[in-house]
Amino acid sequence: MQSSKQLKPPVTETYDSLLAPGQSLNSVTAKISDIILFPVLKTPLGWIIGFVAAGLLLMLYLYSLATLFTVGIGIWGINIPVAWGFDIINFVWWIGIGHAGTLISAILLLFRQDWRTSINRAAEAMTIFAVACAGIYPLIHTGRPWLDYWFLPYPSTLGMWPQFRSPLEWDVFAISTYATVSVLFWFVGLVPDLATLRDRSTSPIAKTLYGLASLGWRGAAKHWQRYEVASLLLAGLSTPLVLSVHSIISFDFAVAQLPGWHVTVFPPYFVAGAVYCGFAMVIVLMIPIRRWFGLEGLITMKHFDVMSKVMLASGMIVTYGYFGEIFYAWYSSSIYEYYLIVNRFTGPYAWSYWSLILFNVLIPQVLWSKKLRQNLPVLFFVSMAINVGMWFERWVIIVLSLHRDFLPSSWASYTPTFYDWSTYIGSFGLFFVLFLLFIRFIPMIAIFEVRDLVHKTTAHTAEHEDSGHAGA
Amino acid sequence: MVALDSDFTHSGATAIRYSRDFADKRRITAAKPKMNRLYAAEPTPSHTGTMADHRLAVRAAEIASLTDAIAAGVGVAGVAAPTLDEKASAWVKAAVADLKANAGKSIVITGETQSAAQHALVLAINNALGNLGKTVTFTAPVAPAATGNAGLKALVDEINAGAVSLLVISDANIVYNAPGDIDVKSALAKVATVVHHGLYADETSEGAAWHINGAHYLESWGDSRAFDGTAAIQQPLIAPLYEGKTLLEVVAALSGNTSANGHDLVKAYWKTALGTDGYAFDKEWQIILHDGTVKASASASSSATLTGTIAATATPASEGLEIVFRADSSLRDGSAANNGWLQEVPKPITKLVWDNAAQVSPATAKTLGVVATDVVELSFQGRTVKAPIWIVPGQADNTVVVHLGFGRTKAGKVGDGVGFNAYTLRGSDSLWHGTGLEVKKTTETYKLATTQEHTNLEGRDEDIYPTKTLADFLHPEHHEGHKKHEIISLFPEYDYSKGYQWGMQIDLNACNGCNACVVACQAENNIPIVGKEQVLVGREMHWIRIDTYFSGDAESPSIYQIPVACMHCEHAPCEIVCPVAATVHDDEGLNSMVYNRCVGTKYCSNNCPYKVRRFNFFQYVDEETPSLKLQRNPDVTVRVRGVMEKCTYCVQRINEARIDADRERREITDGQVVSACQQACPSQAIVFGNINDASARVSQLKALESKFTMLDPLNTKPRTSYMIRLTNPNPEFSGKTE
Repeated sequence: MQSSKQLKPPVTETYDSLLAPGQSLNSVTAKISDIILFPVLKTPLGWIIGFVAAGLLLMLYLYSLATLFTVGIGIWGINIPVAWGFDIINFVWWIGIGHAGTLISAILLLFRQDWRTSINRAAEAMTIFAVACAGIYPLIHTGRPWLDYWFLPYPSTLGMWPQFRSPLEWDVFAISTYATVSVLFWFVGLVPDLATLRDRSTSPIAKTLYGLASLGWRGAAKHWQRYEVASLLLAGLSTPLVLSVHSIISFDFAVAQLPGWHVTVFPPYFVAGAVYCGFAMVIVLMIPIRRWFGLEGLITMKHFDVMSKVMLASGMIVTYGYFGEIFYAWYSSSIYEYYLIVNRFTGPYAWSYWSLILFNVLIPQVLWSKKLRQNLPVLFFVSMAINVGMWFERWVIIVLSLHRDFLPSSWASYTPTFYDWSTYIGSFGLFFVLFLLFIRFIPMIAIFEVRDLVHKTTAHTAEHEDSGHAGA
Repeated sequence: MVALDSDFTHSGATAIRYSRDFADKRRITAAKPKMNRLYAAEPTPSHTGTMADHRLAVRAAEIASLTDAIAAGVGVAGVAAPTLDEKASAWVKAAVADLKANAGKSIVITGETQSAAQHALVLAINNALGNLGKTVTFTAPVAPAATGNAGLKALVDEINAGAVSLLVISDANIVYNAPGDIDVKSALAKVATVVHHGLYADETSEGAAWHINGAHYLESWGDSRAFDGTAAIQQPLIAPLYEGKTLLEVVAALSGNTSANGHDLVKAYWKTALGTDGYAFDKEWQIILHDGTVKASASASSSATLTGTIAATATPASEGLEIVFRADSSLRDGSAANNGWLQEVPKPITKLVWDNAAQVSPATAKTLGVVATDVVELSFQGRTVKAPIWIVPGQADNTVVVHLGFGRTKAGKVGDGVGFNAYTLRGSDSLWHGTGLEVKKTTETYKLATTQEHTNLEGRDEDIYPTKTLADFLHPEHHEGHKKHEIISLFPEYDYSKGYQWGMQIDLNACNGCNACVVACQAENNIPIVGKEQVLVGREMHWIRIDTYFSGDAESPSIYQIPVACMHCEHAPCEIVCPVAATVHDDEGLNSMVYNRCVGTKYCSNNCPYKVRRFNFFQYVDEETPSLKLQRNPDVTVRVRGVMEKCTYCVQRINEARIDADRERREITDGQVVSACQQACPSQAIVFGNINDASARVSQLKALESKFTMLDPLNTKPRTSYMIRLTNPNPEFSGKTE
């Protein structure tokens, strides 16, 4: 591809449509598949640099995990009382990131929201990689990770089942189901595009690999009919998962009796928070990608506008949750709940609570302005702020609740160590390695769906032309 | 009772006995709704002081004025009342009034660190109160009277005069613990041959020509006398691990008997002492070995009269900072410095581990412009050491307290370089306290590890440490009673009415926070030590801990101490959250921890409101060192890295009792299962047993009105409950009454 050339010309942005003018069925296919189908040796330098950087981070991650397994989880800063720290914060954060993908691909499919087409593939990929990053944390946060398989219900010679009343056990099912359905949904959605790549690629290796992966797709009407049924079914399966996964993860906290955790509003509050930062992450990823790969015609400002509105809405739900927590503390007339809020406002970690309010409540208010919503640098900054803010939210929930609970004698502080940071930053290595491989080898925009959109919009235009409303 | 700088429940040979006797007089039953009243004046909070009904923080030097004032108050002839500040005189007035009202039933005690003149004056006070022969009795001295450091000074002078060519030192680390103004080290270098006998190669043996490997007392035959003269035969539990020799054997060898062993020496002595022979002696010897003590060997009580003139002891008040030396609560003089258990057991009040500090009151810290962990230079009589600051509420102002027993250089792997050596500051004329200390702030700070960072109850007294005065407790009708809600559960209750149901009761009127339970638990349950670095990040492993809270103003706070271990909740929050059922309830009410099954999610700890669970963040247990293998309790699993652990109510002891009972086809009887903490508690604050047995002591205590459970509103239904702390303040005393 000619990305270096394409970076130069000034970009004409499209604000009111999901497709830039002049997109045809052929141009869409060519645009998307050309990003993938060029010789390996001609891989753009930018991609290589990114991949090397991500690879180095991945090495850091692997090094951290190796140390963790050989030395023990004492390398982290966790202690008694703060027995969960970065491990669970990052777990919940990554899972939250993943939510946007499923929401876009499943719920918006069911609601027939056309604006999802250009972004759903990448968002779904983001979901899967984020779930992979997330899923690792609960496995490695245990003291004896080599025994993690005891979480699974299998007929064991120990004669033991897992303890089904534990929310952590519910997590096992929630996350594994979520990961499985997400991968299936993603793969099924890929099949027609893999077939397109098979047909368009010239290299025999690529032809063989894409051919194997496309499962013999020939584009027959029967195939399309089955495909539609399958994706509808999977969308139906995924939809409750969007709500259930983060609800169940919120139970990890809500079921406990710790002040700050024992909150009944957690399930919807967590789901909204997940959608919030999930969309923020999609925007953070899409803004540079569309620029680098010249996809302005397919991912338009309209997309960003719609996503910003979703963020704004979910952000308001989250904000409601923050005020709710303050209200419960007062209304419960429990000294422990009350102190929790006092501690958040004025305690040793008050800076993190106020950062959370700044990043999650105050900064995103700029999205009320359409002008700022469609200003990409501003949007990028706001989305980054939301990602950071949502990380702080989990920090506040986990660390601030644990470090000062019922008995003042057990109050203590929590300081992350090098390994806390390296297992967090390192996980970005895993995420970006996977994501870069994805954009290099798999169509990051669903070709056939955009073609469908092109078809619909041109048909639409034709209709308008017929009725005399020219110039649409 | 009036304690003048006396930690009689914790310090000295009589401490364990006094601790128990004192606690007995603080227990309230329906039959005995009375308790003693304790006035304590001391420079820094001691175990005894925290139990006081009226505690007064005064400088050690001012104890003498207080004593004079009390003496004058009770009418000791020839002592005039000195002028005291308002607070002290109110305290003295109340104490004197109570002493006079209870003449013959009262006692004034002064501590070991106070001067002989002070002790004489206190004896005169007790005499004036008619306490002699009643609350104060006399026996012939068990040990020869201590000479302070006069003997050591004389020895060093003789060595320096060239009069000593062979010196045998046994069980004394004089290079380390001589006062700073006696230079033992260079003196020893002048002796041609120094022979050192002791358990460890230490600072003293370093310069000695010979070191004789000593035997530990648990490896030795020997005998000893208790404070009242009762003789005990010391019997070895194990053959000497490193072929050590006991002092008896060394002395015998020096007198020519090189082949003697401890057993024969002890037996031979008692043969002579008892005056029996043959079968009669053998029989008596067996009885002594069985009982551990020699029957009726306590000294007869004798009488003593005061001779000479009794005079006021107060010296002209000296201004400036005062330094107070105290033996460390667990390391004592420092000979135990290489014992990790004792290094890691949190010091009472400060909860510091692995260090000593220069302790000051909050007001003094402000005056000096220092905060906790600032390093200061302490200069006393021209000698200087560097020490980190620690702030202790309830300490007397203008007093710096330092603890002895630290700063060892040749203690061994564990004890080397822990803390600073306060002996070097000590002068032979100021062994326990002295004025004229200079404190200079440095720019350095030092990391001090404490197991409790927060000591304020945050208004949670009702749920954590409720207190009542005796009067309020006995006449609750005068006060609006605290309404207890009946808390209900959504789930059906498990039927715990059958079989053994284990429970514990801890009496906060008896616990003085001595830490014996903490170390006993550690020994019994193979609990590892983790070291300073791990304590700093909050990973200490003790299954039972003593929480300390300060209540009221920082100058004269009430000090609360409460032992906290796993409560064995009937509604255990830890159990429902474990994904692998590694912590489960058994039908006898035990919250069991199945180490083998534990994966280590730590969720149980997060959901434990008492935070009594402990996690093996690393492989803390040393499984390699051969001698440590012998140290472990074979009945208790040694835990590996990645596993949660906590108090089991000494389930191994329950099972041992069960096996014994089964074998004898009977039920486990009350008192048969004694938890390690209970066994070690000198004041019998901890009672354990079957709460299904109405006649068991634990059930009877739990039935008392003064029972409470910690964090009751959470409805965890703990099996461990407490007796409310009752105080018995003088209603006439306008001063602070806890």
